[in-house]
Amino acid sequence: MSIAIRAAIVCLLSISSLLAAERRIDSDQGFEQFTASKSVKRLDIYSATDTRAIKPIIEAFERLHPYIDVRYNEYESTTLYNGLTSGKIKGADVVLSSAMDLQVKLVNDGYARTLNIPESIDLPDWSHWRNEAFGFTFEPVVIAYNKASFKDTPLPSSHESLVDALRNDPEQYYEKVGSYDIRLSGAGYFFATHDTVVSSISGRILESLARASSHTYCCTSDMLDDLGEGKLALAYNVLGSYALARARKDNRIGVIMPEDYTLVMSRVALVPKQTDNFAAAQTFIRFLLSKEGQQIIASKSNLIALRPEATGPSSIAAISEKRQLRFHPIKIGLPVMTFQDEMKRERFIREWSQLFDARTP
Amino acid sequence: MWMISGRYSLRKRLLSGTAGLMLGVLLVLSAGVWQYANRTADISYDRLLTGSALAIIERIRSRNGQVEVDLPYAALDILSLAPDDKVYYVVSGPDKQYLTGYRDFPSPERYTPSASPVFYNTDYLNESIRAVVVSKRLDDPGVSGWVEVRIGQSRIARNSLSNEILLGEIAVLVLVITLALASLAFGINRTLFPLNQLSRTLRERRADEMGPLPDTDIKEVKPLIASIDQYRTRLQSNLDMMQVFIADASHQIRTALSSVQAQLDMAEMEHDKDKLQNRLTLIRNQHRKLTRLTNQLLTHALVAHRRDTNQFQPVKLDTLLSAILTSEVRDHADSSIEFNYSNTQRDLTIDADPVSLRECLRNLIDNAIKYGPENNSITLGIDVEAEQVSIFVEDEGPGIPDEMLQRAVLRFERIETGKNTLGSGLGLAIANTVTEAHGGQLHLSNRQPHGLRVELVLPRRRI
Repeated sequence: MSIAIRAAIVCLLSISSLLAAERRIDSDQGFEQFTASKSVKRLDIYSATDTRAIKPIIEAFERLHPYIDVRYNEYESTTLYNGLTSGKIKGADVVLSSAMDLQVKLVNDGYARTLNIPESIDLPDWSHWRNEAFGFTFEPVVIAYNKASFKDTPLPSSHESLVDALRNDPEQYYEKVGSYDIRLSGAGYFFATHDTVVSSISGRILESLARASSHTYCCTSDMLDDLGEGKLALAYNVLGSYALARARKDNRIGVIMPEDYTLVMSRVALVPKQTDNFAAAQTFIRFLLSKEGQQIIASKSNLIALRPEATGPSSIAAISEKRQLRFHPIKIGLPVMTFQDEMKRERFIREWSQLFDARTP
Repeated sequence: MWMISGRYSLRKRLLSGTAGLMLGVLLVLSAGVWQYANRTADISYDRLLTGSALAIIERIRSRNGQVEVDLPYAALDILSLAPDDKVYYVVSGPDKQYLTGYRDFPSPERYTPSASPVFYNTDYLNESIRAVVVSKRLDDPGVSGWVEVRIGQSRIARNSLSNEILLGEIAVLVLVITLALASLAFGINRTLFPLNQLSRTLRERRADEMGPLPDTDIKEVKPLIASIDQYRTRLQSNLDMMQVFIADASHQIRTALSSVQAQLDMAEMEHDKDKLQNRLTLIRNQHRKLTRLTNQLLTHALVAHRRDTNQFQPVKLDTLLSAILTSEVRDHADSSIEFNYSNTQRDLTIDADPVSLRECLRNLIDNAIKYGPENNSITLGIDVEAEQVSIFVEDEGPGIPDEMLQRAVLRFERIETGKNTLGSGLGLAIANTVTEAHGGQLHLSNRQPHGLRVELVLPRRRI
């Protein structure tokens, strides 16, 4: 290609990105003027995310858009989903949830509105669906461990080696392993089912966990508490953002990202159809995905930013620590709905329960 | 065929005609392509749907007397090849018993369970859906009957594929048609080349270069060249006639002038008063002849010019003829000539040039006076027929010998009458020119026992 043509293309590209940026600013300003003339607009965010984790982002957004008054409502993800589909929850302008499967089902079943996200915000292919559901975090599913328990024992580095270790070293692991109770934890169910998609040894993992009489937990924090106190030596399939945040504060806890594959989930944002404040909702999600928003996630929140260029303690660069990891992001799209199939779910939980109810007390 | 008024370009006409035809063809083909594109897109994505439905139905089993389905991950994974489309499904057991999925997902209107997939279109949750239904016969202990999978997909990927095919095909069609039109334009230029060459040849010819144009091998252009050659031949003969006319006119005028000059010279030397008087009479006669010749030449020039400039207007013949006759009667009040007027159609109006018609008729009457006896009876009149009107002048003069009737209308063919009368022979030529200018014919006939009938037969157009 000749230099002239390249220059022309670069020129065109920069013009089009300028135009895109212009458009974005326009619509933002349009909204600002609109709200300014009609006083403060209220934006209701319904979220299945720890208020503490999301707070810095909302504060930054409110600073940028003083005419939008954000109300944050925290729910458990299944309650949130049921409330939205049954119509019991009304007035949500933005829905944030770590339950990717439920968010995708909301989109598929027509509860979400199409957003116009400028092309300048470039997102990984796996992190959004239909311009309706947008992932905004990058959260690996990890194995957490109690450092003291592994003073003399090698750490399992992959799923395969974990299965072997559980089987071969009962002294180390028996009744000292924790994992989610998939009947109580949506995330636990989601991670366990996606192990079956990615791994050929997922059955053996569950079996060995059951045989080691693992403890099951409803919630990540309880599991991490027990891990820190040494009641557990190892916690399997823990939500990485929480585990890493805890490990930063509690140096008794370490985090392993399995080197054969590390599942990655993303918190998903969407705007429900019935929002009466679409412009503000769209502005919020644009902010969430923008460089600025992502930078705040990476530097100030416990969540992990989706965009690789973000820097800070909660960035992809920081959590990988220059290791080559096989991150396996779960694509936001139709297939994650598979495990929301009633019969599939029943069957999976039945099989899981058969394994885990047979544990020796 | 549409009306084409005024000037038009053969090239543009051919091109626009063909372009119109091509546009029609393009529309018809586009409709075909549209259908083809839709069908192709449907076939492609129907395969995905079938694959997904079969993957699901394969996982329907009976377990302890209960029908159970283990939805395979692949079922939705296959369909996510249409990345933006929504998917709905429902699985039902024997007796239409709901097992899992979207409970109220619609089924096709009429359906008999069968293992081969049946496709249908429907709407669900405000989406336009393409769906398939597949059944499987389950014959296990405790469970028997048809189990059924219905799965549907929104149409985004289908539509975009069919649009892509459609646009691609139409782009090709447009390209082909553009090429066809371009080569047609080229072809038309090549076809019209002989015409351009012909006009160049004509343009570059010298005015006096009279030979035939170079021949052509093109069948369609041959008649054109033949016509041009024919036209040029006629033009040439007209030019020749004009040259003869000028030569004759100058000869006659010179002869008359030198005759007057000679008479004047002789008169100057004449001392005898009676003889001088005689000379003067001769001079006056010569001069009158000259005047008449000049008048007729000018009249001829006038009518020829008016013919070329086409100055027609509605003329009421009765008014025109009465006026001519009145002035003739006044001019010859002292003679014993009898003037008659014969007209039964007082209101007849025709399209004509009144000036040249008047000059023509006056000339004919003058001719009749000049060549006729002193007690001449001259009749001016019209005969009206359905398609034409004849204006005639009859006299009781000597007439024209039958063998000379045809030549009489040519210029300066003075008829030998044996009587020395002033005449230039232009009168009939003027009448002929005027008649032709009116699209009519000049008829000459001798009357019995003697006399001439000159008849202007004019068409009654646009009355």
